[in-house]
Amino acid sequence: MKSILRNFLFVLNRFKTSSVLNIIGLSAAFLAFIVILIQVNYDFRYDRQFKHGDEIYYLTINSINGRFLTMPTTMGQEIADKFPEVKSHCLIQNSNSSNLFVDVLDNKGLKRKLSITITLVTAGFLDVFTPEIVEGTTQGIFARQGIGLITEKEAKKLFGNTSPIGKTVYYHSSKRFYNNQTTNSVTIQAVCKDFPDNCSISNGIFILLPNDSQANYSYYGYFVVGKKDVDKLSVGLNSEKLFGKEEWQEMQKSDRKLKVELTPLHEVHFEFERGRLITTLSLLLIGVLTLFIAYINFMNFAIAIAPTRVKSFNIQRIIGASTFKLKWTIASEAVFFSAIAFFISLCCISLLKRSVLSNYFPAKMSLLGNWELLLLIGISSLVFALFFGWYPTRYIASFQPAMALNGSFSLSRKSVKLRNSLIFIQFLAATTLIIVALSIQRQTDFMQRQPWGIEKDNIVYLYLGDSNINMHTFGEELKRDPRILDYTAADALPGHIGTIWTRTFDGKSVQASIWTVQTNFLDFFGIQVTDGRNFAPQDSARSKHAIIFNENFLYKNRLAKEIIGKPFEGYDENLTIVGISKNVNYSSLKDSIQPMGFATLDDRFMNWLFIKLSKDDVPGGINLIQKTWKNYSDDDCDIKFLDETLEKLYKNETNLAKLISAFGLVTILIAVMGVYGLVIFNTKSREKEIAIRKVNGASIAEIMLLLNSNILILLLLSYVAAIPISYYIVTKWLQQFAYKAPITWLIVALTGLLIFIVTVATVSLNSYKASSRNPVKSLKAE
Amino acid sequence: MIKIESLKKVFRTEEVETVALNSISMQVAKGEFVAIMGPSGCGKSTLLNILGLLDNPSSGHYFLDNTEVGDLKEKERTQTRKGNIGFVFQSFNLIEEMTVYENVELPLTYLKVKASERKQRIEETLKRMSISHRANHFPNQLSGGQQQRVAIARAVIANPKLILADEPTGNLDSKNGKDVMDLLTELNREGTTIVMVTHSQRDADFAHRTINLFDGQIVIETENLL
Repeated sequence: MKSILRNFLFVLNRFKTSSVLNIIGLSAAFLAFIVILIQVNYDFRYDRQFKHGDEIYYLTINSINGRFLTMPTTMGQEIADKFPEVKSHCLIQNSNSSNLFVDVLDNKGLKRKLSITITLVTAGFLDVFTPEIVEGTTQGIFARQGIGLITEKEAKKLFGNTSPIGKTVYYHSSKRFYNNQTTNSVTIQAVCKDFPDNCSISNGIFILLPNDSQANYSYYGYFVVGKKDVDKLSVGLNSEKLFGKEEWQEMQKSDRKLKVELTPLHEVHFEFERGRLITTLSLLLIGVLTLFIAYINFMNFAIAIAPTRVKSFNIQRIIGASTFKLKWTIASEAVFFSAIAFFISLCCISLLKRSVLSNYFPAKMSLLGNWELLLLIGISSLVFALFFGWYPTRYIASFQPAMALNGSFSLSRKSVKLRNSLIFIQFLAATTLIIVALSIQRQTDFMQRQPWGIEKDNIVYLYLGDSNINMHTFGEELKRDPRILDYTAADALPGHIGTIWTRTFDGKSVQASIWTVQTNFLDFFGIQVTDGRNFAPQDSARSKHAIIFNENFLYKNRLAKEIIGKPFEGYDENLTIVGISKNVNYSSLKDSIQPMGFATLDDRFMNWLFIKLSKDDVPGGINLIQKTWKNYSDDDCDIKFLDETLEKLYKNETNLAKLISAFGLVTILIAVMGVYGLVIFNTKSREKEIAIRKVNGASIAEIMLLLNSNILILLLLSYVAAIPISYYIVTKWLQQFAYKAPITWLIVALTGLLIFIVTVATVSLNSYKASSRNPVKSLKAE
Repeated sequence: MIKIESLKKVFRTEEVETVALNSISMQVAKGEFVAIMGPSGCGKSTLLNILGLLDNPSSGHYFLDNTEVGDLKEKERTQTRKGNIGFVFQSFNLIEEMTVYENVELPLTYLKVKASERKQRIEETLKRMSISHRANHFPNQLSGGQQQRVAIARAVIANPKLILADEPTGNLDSKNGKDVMDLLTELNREGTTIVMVTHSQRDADFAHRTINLFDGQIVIETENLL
């Protein structure tokens, strides 16, 4: 062991350049690899950590026109009653804003306002998600309202170190479902362990979700079913048994074709968060690639310095050292390098985790929390290290000791070939990564530049869903100030229109996303009405509610503008179709524009208040809103800019582009470092040759060409090979978008230029030194 | 001590076949000092490598102390070499990352000699080679003559019965060259068998007998009358 360590210290000292480059390269690669693997682990273990993890299924109803993610409370109970395969079930409220402010009384009786998630669940919650109780009892906890279960950390936030059992918090229920705000109380009866970050359940307080109307399709349904019973249950759910004969037949009509589907809970994360799986898999691939490239570098360096080591290896062999032991000593260098790099990367992660990394990765970059994963990476890196360390070792040991002692010698042809192919692979990977990253970046820019068809500048919005504020009083007061131009309200933000109505209209089943809006909404956002009329103030009156469809609604349902004036079925009333509007993007630009309608319904649906500010004094306008808000509510005034929110719709893509670019640069950096190191060794071993050539009349340029040509040929070959590969990847990736930025040659050319310049600069820097050296010095040195 | 019979060594590459040694037979008695001479490429070093068990002959027999060693495997050769054969090279072949002391120590560590005994033996040997004062230096800090003395120290430290020297004075000036030859002669007087390859007639004169090689064959053998 002592001799192994000694040998490593000698290598560090004797081959300083390659050692430093090796350590930097491997550290950067490990940093990327570990961060990515923590994220991948987070994603792949999403929703898998429940006790019944594999047996929990999420129920959705699919139709030709889309997928219903929610169901009414009665349906959950009905399924459980009719099908013995269901072991337990739970419904959870689907709420846009589950973050509520609660009042907590501290020990002096003072009221404090804190934000917490309150989730409404049915009694089956305990059986389905099996919270681990640490204090109190769950006896009868979801049998009646007013008592609840809280997770550990949130309990600490609300009550500090005192026991939360028996404590009461007060919250204001949304005016959305009650016409007047009411104050409710919850008394904590039990505390459970926190749920992990990577699961569908948010930490906070859980209270009873009472039976609701059969028409309220607002709840997520989860069912625990034995694995072997799933198929049987699936057949049963898609039959008359659940829906009754008449409704079932109605559901199977050609324009609906409803089908009940059970999705394993742990698949929901990837299936419903679009792009997540692609992102995760691309990251995984990049991580592996980066590490691979760093190890290739390691191997390249080891092969490059091999000739200088053959001699000492063989002297030791002649004197009597065992070949096996010598081999181990050299192979172990890779292990040391890996270990050092691994350690450095861990230090970097703990330094960066709060600042940089948390912006890009939802997973917590906790080293302790991921120790099992880190251990696994550590062990496999040892295996990698031995694998990549073995070839140079075998190479060094492959010479007959007697031959090895006869002066200097260069690399065998086979090794040069191997080394060249390794450099080729490095450049190929780096070039591909950069082209892909630039293309993703371009697509993101393209989407952000696409017109939404609505105005979005200088518009801010507020959530009113939980407050008691009358939006008209509030809005009119604001409008008295010249800094506020106008206000309007809607049930959802652009990009988050979730309500889909399926109705029978004109004898056929039609479907449209419905955006519930104030009558001035279209004017406010500059949306054109092409036929019929815009909303008028009287359309807001109950029983006079109106609807305006977009052009795609006509087109997709093969209807004509003659539908104007006809009634259209709403929730519990008929709306009048008053006009047709231009198509506007109401969802992400990943999707093409679908049939959609603006509807004027009761004010109680209007969760969001939009305010248009004068562009002359935006900060002043914001100030005014905040000041005015204080007169209406104790809660914080959470103002957001619409354009920023819309950009966030592409956060996934923007992040992915940034990450791939970053890793692409790391890869290039490692590859270029590798080339740099190789050129140093190359020039060194050819010093004499260079000198002789110069003595015989070669110019500096000719010498440089001689030294660089090999690398440049490899660069060119890898570049040519990278073009079709990256073209394929980008085309595949773009398939998920409705609006695609075309692939451009500019990116390909730019990437080529970038890599060419960086490489040539690196190589020339070194070879210039060698070729401009006085030849007499090199000849003398021998 | 050494007996070789019809020893042949052929090097083959894809295109050419080179006969380096062509049916050589010779003997070296215990305690003898033999010089091998001949022009470049005549097979001197090949012969020495085979004698030193660094290489196997293509055919023929090699008996070392009456044991056939011509067809040993790599591992067995290492085993036989250990402690029995010492090497001195023209280019010294010291390990540059080790000090003089450590270079000399190397064979003893492979023979698993105890640390206390090693220290004593190394000190004695270095003293004898007059380089004790350089024990903690690295090879590149020494002159050629000093380096060769270290190499000889390393060759004799394990008390081998046989020392093989490949042009030991080739890289040295005449004064240092003579010192090295004196050292070898002294070792030989103490009973060590020595086989030395050389270009120098002056060096060859130190030996008891000179074997002249030409194109892989022994052409003349001369006894030196001292």
